[in-house]
Amino acid sequence: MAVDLSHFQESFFTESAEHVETMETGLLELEERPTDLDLLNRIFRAAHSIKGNAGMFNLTDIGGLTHQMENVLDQLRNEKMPVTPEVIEVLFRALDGLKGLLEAAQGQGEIDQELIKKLEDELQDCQMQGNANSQPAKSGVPAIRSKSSQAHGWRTVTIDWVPLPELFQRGLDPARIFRDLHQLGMVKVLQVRTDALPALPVMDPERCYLSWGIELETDVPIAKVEAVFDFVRDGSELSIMDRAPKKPEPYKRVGDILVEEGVVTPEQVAESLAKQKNLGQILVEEKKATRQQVDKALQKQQQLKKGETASIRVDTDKIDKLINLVGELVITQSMITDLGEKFTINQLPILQERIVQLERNTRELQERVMSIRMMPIGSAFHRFPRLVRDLAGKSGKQIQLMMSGEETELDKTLIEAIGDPLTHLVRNSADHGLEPPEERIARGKPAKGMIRLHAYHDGGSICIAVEDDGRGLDREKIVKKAVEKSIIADGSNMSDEEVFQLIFRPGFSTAEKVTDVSGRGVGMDVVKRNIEGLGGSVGIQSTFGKGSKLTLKLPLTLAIIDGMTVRVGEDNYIIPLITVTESIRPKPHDLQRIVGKGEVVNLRGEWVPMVRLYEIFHRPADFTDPSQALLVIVEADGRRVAVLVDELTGQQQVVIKSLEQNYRKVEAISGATILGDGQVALILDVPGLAKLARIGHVEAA
Amino acid sequence: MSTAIVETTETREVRTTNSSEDQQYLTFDLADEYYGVDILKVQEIKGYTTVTRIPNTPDYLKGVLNLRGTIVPIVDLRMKFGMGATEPTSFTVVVVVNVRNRVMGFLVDAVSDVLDLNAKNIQPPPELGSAVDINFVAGIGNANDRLVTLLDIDRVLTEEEVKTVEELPGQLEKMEGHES
Repeated sequence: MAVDLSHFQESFFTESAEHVETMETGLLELEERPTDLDLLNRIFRAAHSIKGNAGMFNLTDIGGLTHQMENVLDQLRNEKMPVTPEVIEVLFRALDGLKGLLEAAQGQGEIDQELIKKLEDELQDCQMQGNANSQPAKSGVPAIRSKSSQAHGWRTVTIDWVPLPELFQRGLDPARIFRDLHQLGMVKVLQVRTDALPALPVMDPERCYLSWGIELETDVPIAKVEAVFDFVRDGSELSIMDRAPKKPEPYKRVGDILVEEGVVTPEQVAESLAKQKNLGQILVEEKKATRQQVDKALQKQQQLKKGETASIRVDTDKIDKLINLVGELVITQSMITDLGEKFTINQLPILQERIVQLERNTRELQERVMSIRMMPIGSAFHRFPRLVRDLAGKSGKQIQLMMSGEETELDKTLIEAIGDPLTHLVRNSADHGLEPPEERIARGKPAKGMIRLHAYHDGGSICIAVEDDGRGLDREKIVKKAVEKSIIADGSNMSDEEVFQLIFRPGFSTAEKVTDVSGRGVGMDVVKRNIEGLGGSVGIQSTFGKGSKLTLKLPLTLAIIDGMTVRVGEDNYIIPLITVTESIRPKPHDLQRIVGKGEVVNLRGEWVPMVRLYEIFHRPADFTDPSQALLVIVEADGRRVAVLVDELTGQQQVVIKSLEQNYRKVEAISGATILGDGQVALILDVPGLAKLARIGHVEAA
Repeated sequence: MSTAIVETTETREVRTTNSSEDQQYLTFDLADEYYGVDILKVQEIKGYTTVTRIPNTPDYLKGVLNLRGTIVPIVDLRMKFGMGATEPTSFTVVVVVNVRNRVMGFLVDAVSDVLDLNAKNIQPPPELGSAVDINFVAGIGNANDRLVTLLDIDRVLTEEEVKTVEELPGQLEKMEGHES
């Protein structure tokens, strides 16, 4: 009876990822508390679950490796061997290997057979040590196993068993046999054959119609396996085949085989392969399809690939509440319909009341639906204990990681997107921010450095702070470097924050000298760009010699932003509020032209380029004189731009809709939204505007 | 040794040629001309409401409107065909069509009918010289002694005009320089 398991594959991977995480955090804690039996049991159970599930999906590599891990863990929890840093290290490495296998099983990357073999050997060595330590009398089966493992090695024993029909009448239980087999090693395949099963009316419940095919991975002598079947052998058809360690013939490519057989040389193969073309390319060349059609098809293929993995786990609690809300909504709606059928004007207050109720329902429903995408940020934090541990080990520093606010909820896509920037910041803090122990002691700090990750809500945003008590940023050095690179004229009237923001300048942070003194490494500009791409910002505070604190501020979700609505002529536009710093009505003498074209406005001594929205959009406006209109000062990529608009009309949350879905990308427009009256308003792309201000205007299309 | 990646998906398109059967066309007026589009491409017909103009786009792109939460571009077919701008009247409607997986609206003067046309009553587009662009004309049909120009709706806007955009908004750049 073949059951299609592919539906369950996905949940297997999700679950396995959770178990791997449990094991990882468990092992980290184990380093602190090596004698905690509960902890060991927890790790063991996680490994056991993965093993069991892997067996179900026939993922023998994963099953094999976890089986070995399980054995080691079993010995640890039975106190047959002590928890040593070495054992934990081996388990960590095996865990990494396991992650690789899981990824490979999901079609990402390939299995490194050598590595897995090595890991399994390491784990076995551990076990042998454990066995050597334990009393021979106590060790029982594992002792035999370890002795025989040299003689027999791990291999697969294939068993085919058709028991005699009267098996049950003799008081024998097949399940017992399987249990015994399990003691000897790992049952990789247990296949039950039901083809002999008669129809229900003629079936005799006391007869055994089933037979089994078993694959047992074991290292005990074959006689041991045979002994299990001693009681049931009479009348049964039994075959036990000892297969030598199976080495799967690796998949070979035609080229490899030809080279092996000496037909061609590797160079010739490479040369021929270079000539090989993609199907799409051939189609285009033969004019059967256009370049665009092929590109489109490829894009679609990509999307199909992506589509397979996107899923989300939701608490049933959340879904129950949603269903309740939808129920309420339906009731309210039918109440309004009912009222509308025989409406008289004196019922107006009732109508208004019900509309208010409808509004309330809708708003709550919206919030709940959004909350489905919300996940605790802890899932992005999980990787850090391990990262910090490894970094500390490599650099010889002592680092303590503190995390708080893991339960803060955030949009799932954002959680995925901030993983890399956060890793970068933590890595930087550990690598460059924190000093080596000797230096710390010399400065009167505790030898153990501290990195603190803290997530919290702040209004409509979420903040994630990465704080360390290391060297801190050296203001003077940064200013000196910036002047050298002629980014700034001099730093005397710049605030600390403004100076520190300089390290986010592209190219600035890569300079080796600054990296050494400031303690901030490569790629800070990428961090900043990524965070800003998500509609967020990066704040930085630091005291030289005391430490630094970087704060990422992000919107709760990507789909909704706070926007400022502005009007130009008859058009409404939305400016993302996070980019707006202020709005002013300039005095005529604050406006200047440079080379007769580029317009700048004086903003408290700083000259900021001005963009006339009506001009770059080629639309009519009420005012063309800036001193009658308004200038909205926006900031993007660290540059300020003054945008000329007719008036500010309000401030509201807007849902971002894609313009590209049905049309295409438009310069200086990042998307669209629907206003309260059903009209579409365009959202301005502030970095794009800033770029336009630099390179000049677009020509009318 | 490296191997070239061979694509697994076939990009071949199956063309349906059911010449024996009648095909249905939605017909509409444009100025005083009569046009038809394959009815299977039509998603819905919608009354004309004011649209939001998109800056720096060609004149024939009237703007975008909100179709139940989706932003849909509206093309003024008269403008596209060089017949001057459409003056909205009470008959002016938007024919919402599916073009290459995109939803689009075409502004027409009035919709008139659903027309059954047999393939043998459809002639290939006539040769009108290079002065008239008829790439998007699929053929010419005859309906009650009136000429109906059948549009190949997929070609009314060229690929360049509805450019595919690879980048998804908000997509993160790959982090560079991890090893610091």
